[in-house]
Amino acid sequence: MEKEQYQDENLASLAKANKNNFKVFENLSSNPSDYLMVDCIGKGNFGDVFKAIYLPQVDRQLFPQNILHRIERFNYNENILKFLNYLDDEYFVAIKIIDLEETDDDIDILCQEIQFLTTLQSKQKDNQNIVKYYKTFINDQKMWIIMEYCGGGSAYDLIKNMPMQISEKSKIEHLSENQIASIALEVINGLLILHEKGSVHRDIKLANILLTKDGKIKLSDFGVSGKLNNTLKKRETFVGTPYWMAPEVILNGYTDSNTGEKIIGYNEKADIWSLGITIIELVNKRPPLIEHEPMQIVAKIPDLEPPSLKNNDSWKCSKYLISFVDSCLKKNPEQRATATELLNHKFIKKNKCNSPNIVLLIDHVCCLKLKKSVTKIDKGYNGLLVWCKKPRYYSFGNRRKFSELVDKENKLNIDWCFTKTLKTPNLTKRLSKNNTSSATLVKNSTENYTPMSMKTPVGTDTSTSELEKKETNSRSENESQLEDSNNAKKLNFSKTIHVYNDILLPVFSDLIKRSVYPETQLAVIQLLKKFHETEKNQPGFSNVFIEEIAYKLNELELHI
Amino acid sequence: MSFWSKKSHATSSQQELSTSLEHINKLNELLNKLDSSIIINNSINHVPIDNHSNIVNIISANNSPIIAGTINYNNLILSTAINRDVNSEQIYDYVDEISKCLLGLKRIVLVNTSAQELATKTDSLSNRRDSVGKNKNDIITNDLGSSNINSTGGTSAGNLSLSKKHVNTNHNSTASSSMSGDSSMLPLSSASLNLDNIYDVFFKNDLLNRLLLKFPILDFESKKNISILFANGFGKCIDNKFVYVDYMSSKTDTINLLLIILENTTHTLSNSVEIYLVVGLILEECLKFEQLSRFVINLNSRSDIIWNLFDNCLLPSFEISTESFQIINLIFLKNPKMISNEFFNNKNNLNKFINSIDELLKHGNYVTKRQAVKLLSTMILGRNFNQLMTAYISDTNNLKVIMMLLNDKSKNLQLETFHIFKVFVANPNKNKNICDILIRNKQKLLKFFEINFNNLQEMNLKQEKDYIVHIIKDLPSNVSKLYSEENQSDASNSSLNEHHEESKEDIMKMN
Repeated sequence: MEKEQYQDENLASLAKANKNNFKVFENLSSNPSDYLMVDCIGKGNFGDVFKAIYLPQVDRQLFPQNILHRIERFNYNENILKFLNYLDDEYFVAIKIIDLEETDDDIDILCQEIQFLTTLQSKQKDNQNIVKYYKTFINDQKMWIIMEYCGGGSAYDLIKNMPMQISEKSKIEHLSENQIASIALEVINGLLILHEKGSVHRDIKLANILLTKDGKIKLSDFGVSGKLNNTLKKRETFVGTPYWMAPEVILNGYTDSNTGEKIIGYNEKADIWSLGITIIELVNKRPPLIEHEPMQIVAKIPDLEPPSLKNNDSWKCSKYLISFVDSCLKKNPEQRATATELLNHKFIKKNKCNSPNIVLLIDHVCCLKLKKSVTKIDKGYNGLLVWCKKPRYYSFGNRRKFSELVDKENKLNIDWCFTKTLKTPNLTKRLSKNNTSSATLVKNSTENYTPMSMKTPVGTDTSTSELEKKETNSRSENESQLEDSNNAKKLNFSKTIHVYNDILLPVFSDLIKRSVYPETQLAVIQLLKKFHETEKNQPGFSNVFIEEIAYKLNELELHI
Repeated sequence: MSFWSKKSHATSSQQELSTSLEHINKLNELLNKLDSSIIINNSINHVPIDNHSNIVNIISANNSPIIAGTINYNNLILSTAINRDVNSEQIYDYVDEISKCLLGLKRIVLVNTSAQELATKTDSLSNRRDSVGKNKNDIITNDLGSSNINSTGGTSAGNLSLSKKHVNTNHNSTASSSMSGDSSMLPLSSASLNLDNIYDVFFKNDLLNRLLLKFPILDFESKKNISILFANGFGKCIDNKFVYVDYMSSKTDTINLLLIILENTTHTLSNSVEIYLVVGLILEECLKFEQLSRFVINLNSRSDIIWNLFDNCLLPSFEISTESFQIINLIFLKNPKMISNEFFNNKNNLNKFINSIDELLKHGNYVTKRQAVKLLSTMILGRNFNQLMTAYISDTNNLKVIMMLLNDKSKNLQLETFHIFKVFVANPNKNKNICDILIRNKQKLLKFFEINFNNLQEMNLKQEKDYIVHIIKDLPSNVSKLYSEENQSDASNSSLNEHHEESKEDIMKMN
């Protein structure tokens, strides 16, 4: 339906023009609707991470409007994906959304973590090896943390895609020692900043080492990094990922080599161990012991000999690299090298002058990712790719509706009565409404919307007006309404739930999350596609579907 | 092999000691230079000649923003005002160098802090370390005493020469003690002593205060470094005494200065968040100690510091609001007895606290609400805050706030609020107005408890909930019936307080 036909070069130059408008991300707004989610780029224990455009800084004259509209509706096509890919990293922000309702008592710790992030920033040095942090705000029960976006993905993505066929002639089996050294160097620089502020990262691994498109390396995910305070100098908590964990983190202490006494806790040396494991991961594409169950191996790591690259089977490493890793992987943290010592290690020094070509690899990985998404779109996923990743607690769809949804939830509350003049309202009625809100809410519309309408096929264009008439209480809209801004204006619903976007899609995304096997996942996706099609051809189908389920549940008084 | 590595460590820590002392002296020197150049600068220009000429004169007279015992933020800004037209390059150079010194000092301190831990944890060596340590401390404190007298009254030149001498003596003392010490324990002892020395000099030279006086013109990194330096050393305990805390409480203008800067950064535009955090961190360290906390509380009667912090909790900036709350938390929970006896005994303070926390519960964002409700419930259920509990549960306004919060859609908030609500209900001597509201909402409340708190995991909570529901059920179903009962209980009003005590014990038992 869109007549946009961009050539590749056009897209590239368009993106370039937008780049020039880039300003520094300062004084960002705390209004969630100012951030346009483009993609879901990560999922963590603490929350999901999104790639987003900061709308107030978008130059509406330069940024193609139709692309913006389509992104808003997650109606992607190849051009949009390409355009987004051409845009600079600096055009986006990464947003981590944490549901505070799910973090029980940790809320204070989380606040301190954010404060730590703020003090970690340095105004002068723009290129430090730590992901930049811009802002935090609270929206409803969610915490939005706005950070720098790194378009190159993580170092793990890089390794995952090895061996790489970069051109017909050259095939890259593994990273060169040169490249490994430069990554190690920048990671150590990042660690030095952290350690200087009295903090331990505690979760160094390839997945937490991010790359920008131009090959800069940034440490990220301080979600578990603990700040050492002066009462408790060493951390005594058990965090990290088992394969990368230092022995003293697991044992919560170590034995002094001279006196044989046990010293409790651990310090910044734990990060050095994890760095050693990470280097092995860079060399062999996986950390040692990965073939074991994580929880079983945890108990064994302290007893096993530290891993080494001495007799590496995948390829032969230089003696410098071997000794570098060995000095990181000393079981006793006192004997382990410090970050500054590692900077002066021959392995780093020797490889310092040569410029490693990581950018080439990053580009390659980006291209691969783009191709993947494009083929998915070609297969008819059409934005479903993103939908499937939709986390349960961020309402995409029509962004205007997000705040309305929240209002609705508030409405369900009990109105206490504090003044004497106020009559006691019919309470039982009110409460039963609360109890079965979903059912009673849609009940009215069902009366108007007989199952008969399902049988009469309606064209996409006419369906809009028909629906409008039929749904006097208008609990829903369908997609075609959203696409047409004029229509959307006419429908001035104050409180609406888009049944398809707000109920069915999240339900399906949860179903997909819950399916264990890929086959199951595929089946669910196919079912969702069927739903999608049916909804497109027979608008209002999802309404009736959900209504019927709600009815039945209500009838049987089922509370699952 | 081990012998050699230790040997080198020992010498390096000696070097570090001398370099760090040099850093401190240089800081001292630079601050003096900065003082004098600013005075010259300002006297040349008479910056804001109309309104503030008086103040400028006063400042240039004694070079301090402290006038008649109080610090005024305007004066602080003025005393560090730099006229960009004249001669300012020199000042910026000084600031740069101060920044470098602080960085160097911080590095040494951080490295040695971890080294010191190793030392203190090794019990077998600690005895001997102590004996050596004491001697050395004596020497240094004597040394410092003299230098301090001089630095407060003396000229910068005198101070300078004395400082140099001071380094030398320190150096010598380290050398002599290392000679006398057993070679095997050298690295440990000198590492820890090293730190003590640094902090001794740092605090007794009043460096913190002097740096804070120049806070507005220091660069951001130095500000951060000051706070790290401070946080690392302040709580240190030497011979079972918090030496630096004692020192701080004898020189209260420093903490005064901190509060002034903290209060005023919210109005300044640039870097306000970062400065607020940095100063807040230093203040937090201070508030951990009762004597300093008491000072802040007493100050509140004059300057509303604590109430301003409550206001700051409602600011849109996430960092500022959470930092403010952390400070509030420390003030009220760290030394509960003191707060109860010395702060809440003033009715004004008590009412103002209740108003302020209600404000947070009403208008805060999700995080503020959760933190505030947690603070309130800890205080109300805690043993030390009897008067707070009695006051809180007898005001209908508070009940309204709590009931609104009970209705929040967040389960966590509901649960935490329940812990406060239950005190209202379990109170055997509810006053008439409270009863009124409860009776008016009896059915709703019963319905509410039917819907909510159904999946409680803890047995205690379940019992509590049942108990509360039971009490609500026993309430008369309309208000008129209550009046007769209420009249009776009015008669027994004299023993109200005792009953409150009982009710509290009730709650305690329930817990």
